Amino acid sequence: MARPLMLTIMRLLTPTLEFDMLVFIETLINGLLLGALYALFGMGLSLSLGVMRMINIAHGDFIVLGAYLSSVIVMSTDLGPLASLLLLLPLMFVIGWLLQVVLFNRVVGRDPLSPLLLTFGLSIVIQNLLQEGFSADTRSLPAGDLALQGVELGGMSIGVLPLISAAISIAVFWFINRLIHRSPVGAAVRAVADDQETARLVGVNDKRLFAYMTGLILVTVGIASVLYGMRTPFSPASGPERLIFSFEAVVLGGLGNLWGTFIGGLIIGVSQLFGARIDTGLGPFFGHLVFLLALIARPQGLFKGGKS
Amino acid sequence: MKHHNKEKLQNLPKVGRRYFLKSAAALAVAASMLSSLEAMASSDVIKIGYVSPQSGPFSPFAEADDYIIDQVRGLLADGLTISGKHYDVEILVRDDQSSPDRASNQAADLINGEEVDLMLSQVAIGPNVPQQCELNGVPSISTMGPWEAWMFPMGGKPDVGFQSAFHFFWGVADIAEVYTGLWNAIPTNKKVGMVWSNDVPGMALGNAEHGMPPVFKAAGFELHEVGNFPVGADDFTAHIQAFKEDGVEVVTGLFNPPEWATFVAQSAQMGFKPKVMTPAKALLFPSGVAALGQSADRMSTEIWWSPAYPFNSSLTGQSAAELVADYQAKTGRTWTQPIGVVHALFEAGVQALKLSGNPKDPEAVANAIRNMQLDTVIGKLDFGHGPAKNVSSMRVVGGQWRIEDGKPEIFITDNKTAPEIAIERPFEAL
Repeated sequence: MARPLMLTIMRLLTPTLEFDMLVFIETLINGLLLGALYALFGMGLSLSLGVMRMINIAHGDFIVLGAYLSSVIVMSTDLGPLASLLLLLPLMFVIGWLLQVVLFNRVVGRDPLSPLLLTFGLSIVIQNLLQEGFSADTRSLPAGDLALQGVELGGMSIGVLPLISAAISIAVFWFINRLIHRSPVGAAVRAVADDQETARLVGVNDKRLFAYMTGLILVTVGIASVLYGMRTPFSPASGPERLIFSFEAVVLGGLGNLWGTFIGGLIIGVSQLFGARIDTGLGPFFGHLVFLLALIARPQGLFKGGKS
Repeated sequence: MKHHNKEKLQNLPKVGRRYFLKSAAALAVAASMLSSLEAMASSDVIKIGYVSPQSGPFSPFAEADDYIIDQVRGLLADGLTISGKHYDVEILVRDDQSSPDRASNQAADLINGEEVDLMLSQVAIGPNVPQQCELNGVPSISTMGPWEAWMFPMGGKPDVGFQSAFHFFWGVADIAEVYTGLWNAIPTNKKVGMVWSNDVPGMALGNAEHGMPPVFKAAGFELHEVGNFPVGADDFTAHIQAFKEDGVEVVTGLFNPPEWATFVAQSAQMGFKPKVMTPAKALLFPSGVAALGQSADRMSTEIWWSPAYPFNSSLTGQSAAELVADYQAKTGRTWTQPIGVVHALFEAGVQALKLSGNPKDPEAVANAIRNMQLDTVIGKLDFGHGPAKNVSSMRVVGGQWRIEDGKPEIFITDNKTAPEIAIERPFEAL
């Protein structure tokens, strides 16, 4: 164990040889691509924190729920996983809207603890319902040949599926950011985020806005679910781990800062892969370690937060 | 109630004498049946506990369980007569959900709550069930994991063995020999990249002293290793980079099907094209192979059992091919290797009860297994002359998956470890 460990550390620290430089860049790119997916996991959490001041503990379970719903769509129709988004996203929007109207609006804005407890319970309910409905078996979304393709890039080979995932992630971040900063709905959202009471005084119906917002959040979750399910097999119990990655991306980037969340996700992804080069068994550990160090150095997150 | 009866009695004359006599006769028959049922309940019942991962990531190992348990229950419907005494046999099936903790709990429940006389179990996730049995003195036979991954985690020594726990499966050295046999069939640069999972079976197979690596080294292969991966890993960049750098042509290790799918996809994405891929466990099941699509063509693995095995069941007399044909006809699913092994587990269990003379005596049953020899559908089991005490080895050969018309099929390509099993096809590079 000790000898291969020393060897990999030396390999990592001596990027002088041309090939090692390539390995370094390849690890970096793969880390960024993985991180873009983590960032997309974090987006919904970032939105609910930024706008509703609500931490959704069931966020990871919604990602897994979306992946299962997509697999049901794929199996019962001729659609592939990406095409299943056509049916999945409207469905996720409705689920989000209903959740907010029926459940979350009862607790949001009261105190920080109630939504936390409510979504904690919801997380357990979703996991058990999934286990009841789909058994504890792992599933994956069939990505077909797409999952095997790579593109040559100056001596390196980069996977096509991770590239597509990252491109979709960037597009979603760009679109949501634009929606919030450049549209009338976005203005209302930002107003509520800044000062709920005053926004109400000028005629913003915050409860209805929240319902649409949670619908939108679950749409971003739906996109993340499909990309996740195509990359990694999932089971009803995989939710909490997704929540941790999402949470780290959000907190690292600064609470409620959308592009901060994106950068936060990238940092987690890159640290995991470089960590795995030091010891292959400890990749996720190094992701958590970097998060912890960053949090000690800058408890408020790397970027200015607050207004999403 | 009483009032009701009176009413009925008053109505009787209308019904007539014959009807009354008939009903009275029926009542008498029913009563006698009831009493005989009571008598049956008071006679001895042998309880067999069976724990396996029927759900969760290890569920493919238990895919054939329902079929085999139905089959065995059917065979034992009339019970067993042992030393002139008749026993009814009850099989209690538990799902450990692929969780070692749950396996322990289920075993404890079967031992203390149901007081089973014999425990049968699958130990692919770890030897938790046999451990409970050994602690409580309940005779146990297990399978579905290399015997080293059963004996050493339980703190056993090969020359000492255990009081109540017995196991049959191949050992690490057997499968390592199968792998080198496969690899020697074609010319390679003999550079082997190894990737082991960071769990009990992975540590056992990948152990540098007692695992597969020393056998590979002795056979002249050059070993390359970066480190273990955590179960459920979704990235293998570090491994693949190192293998590309070192010019590895043969990849082996221990993977679960999801991780193997990730490894294969990422290897293809990163342009890593080895000549031979021989993962343990990941390619056992047609479902896992089908998920890989055409890329699984010519991947190789160990075979524990196939319809081509020339052996017959001691319970049903069926040949391996007949058992497979019956399974496919009844379930509509493709055959998997655990069918033969789980069937043999019940063959061994029933034989142990018969040999014991007194199936209700745990010590008698354990002693019966200690030197038991039995010809099963997977070949001869011999607990008296195994590679370690309390262990019977079983046959394992090498094979290669071929995907023809999108349908995966496995063929035996190497039989050096068990020459009585015929080769079906020559080995080919990826």
